[in-house]
Amino acid sequence: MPTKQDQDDAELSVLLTKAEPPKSPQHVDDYILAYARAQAVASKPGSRWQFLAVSKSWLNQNWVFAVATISVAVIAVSLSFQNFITPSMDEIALTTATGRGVADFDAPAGLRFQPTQTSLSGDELSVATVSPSRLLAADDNEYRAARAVADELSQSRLAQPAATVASGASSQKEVRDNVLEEIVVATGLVRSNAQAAASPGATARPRLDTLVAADPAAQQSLVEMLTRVLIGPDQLELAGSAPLADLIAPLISAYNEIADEPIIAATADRYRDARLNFTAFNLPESLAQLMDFLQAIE
Amino acid sequence: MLGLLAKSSDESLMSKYQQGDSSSFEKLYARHKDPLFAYLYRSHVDLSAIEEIAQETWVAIIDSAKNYRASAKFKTYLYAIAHRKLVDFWRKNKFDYLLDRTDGSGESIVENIADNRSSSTDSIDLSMDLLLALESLSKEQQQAFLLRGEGFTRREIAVMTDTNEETIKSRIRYASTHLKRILEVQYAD
Repeated sequence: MPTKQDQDDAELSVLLTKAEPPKSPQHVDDYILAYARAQAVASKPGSRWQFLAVSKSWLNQNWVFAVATISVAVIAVSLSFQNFITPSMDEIALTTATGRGVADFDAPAGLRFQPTQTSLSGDELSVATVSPSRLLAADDNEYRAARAVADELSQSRLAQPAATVASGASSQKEVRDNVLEEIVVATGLVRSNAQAAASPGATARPRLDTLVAADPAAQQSLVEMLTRVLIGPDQLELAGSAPLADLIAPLISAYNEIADEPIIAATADRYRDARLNFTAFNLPESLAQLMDFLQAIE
Repeated sequence: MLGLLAKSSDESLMSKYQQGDSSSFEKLYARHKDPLFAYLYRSHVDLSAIEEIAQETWVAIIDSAKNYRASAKFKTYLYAIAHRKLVDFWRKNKFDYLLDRTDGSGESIVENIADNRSSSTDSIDLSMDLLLALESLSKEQQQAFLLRGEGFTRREIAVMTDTNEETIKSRIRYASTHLKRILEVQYAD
């Protein structure tokens, strides 16, 4: 049974409703109904948007967990990618243990060695060379092993019947070029010529082969130094006027014959010392780089 | 009986909306939008603020529709959310939540209405006087009185406002007595 208080309350409430309040505005109604329709579509069973609604509510409750998981995943992915990223030549040069950068390759005459690409301008023979990132790791063994594989494959390809290779006078060189290119790209040990050419400054730097070819004194100094390193000072016999290719051929043979680890290490040490005393022009940091360049000339 | 059907129908409409039937929500909205807007208007006379609070209330209803369970009346659920939005708004805007309302000169609005009533009886609607008198109550007393006027029981109001039933009873009694005192002359007429 209603009390007096209840009756009074009811009377006041009725009185209050007599003052006609404003209605819900149309723009609010439109917004609410549109929003309700959109949410209804998202929450319909089987709706392709339903997962978004679920995700939203899940995120509202578990956002800390979600953020932590994503952060860990991003860190893990970035760490794993570091193993696959090969730094560019410029980065390598700037971060070598000796602190010698690309600028150190500047020859006195303003010439530079371009370790990632060599080519002979005469016959357009282009040979990809071993990546500096591997060479500067001072692991001649590794380089030589890779090189041996490359040579084997190259030789086997060259041994194929002439009919199977491209026709023309330079077909063998092209085949060798292509084989080397395939090998180095497949093994990731070297950069392709295209990649090297795309690197900044690739066209701006004069090449060591140009220097050696153009300057007989430089040729002489280089051959002398390499003879001391690879064969020994007692065996130094110079054929001053011989073509450069003839001079370096025995050196390359000597280099390729070195197989024992202690001898490889000793040779690398000799080269390091000789390089420091070599004043004709700046040389690559590793013997392997230099030999690779000379083999290209040969 | 019709009222009972209508109330149960609120819950069934909400249930259908949970299944993605937007037309059910439209019916539900049409049924409650104006009464809710009126409740908000009586609680706070700033129309732009009311629009904002009404919109936020309905958006909250829509967003939480998936979790709605018909364990309580839909109307109780709706007004409880609206009440919380109002309280949040007052707190955010640093409204005096407990003290009586005063005008710009610091005078009690209640006293002003009582003093002016003889000259304004003819021009001011009784309901409007009551509406203004509501402003003289504390927000808690005002809310208890308004929610009671919307048909909620003291127990429901206690649940909606996070207080106990006795406190609600006391607030409603105080509000009712206060309002009657202000409108005494009009009642006599």
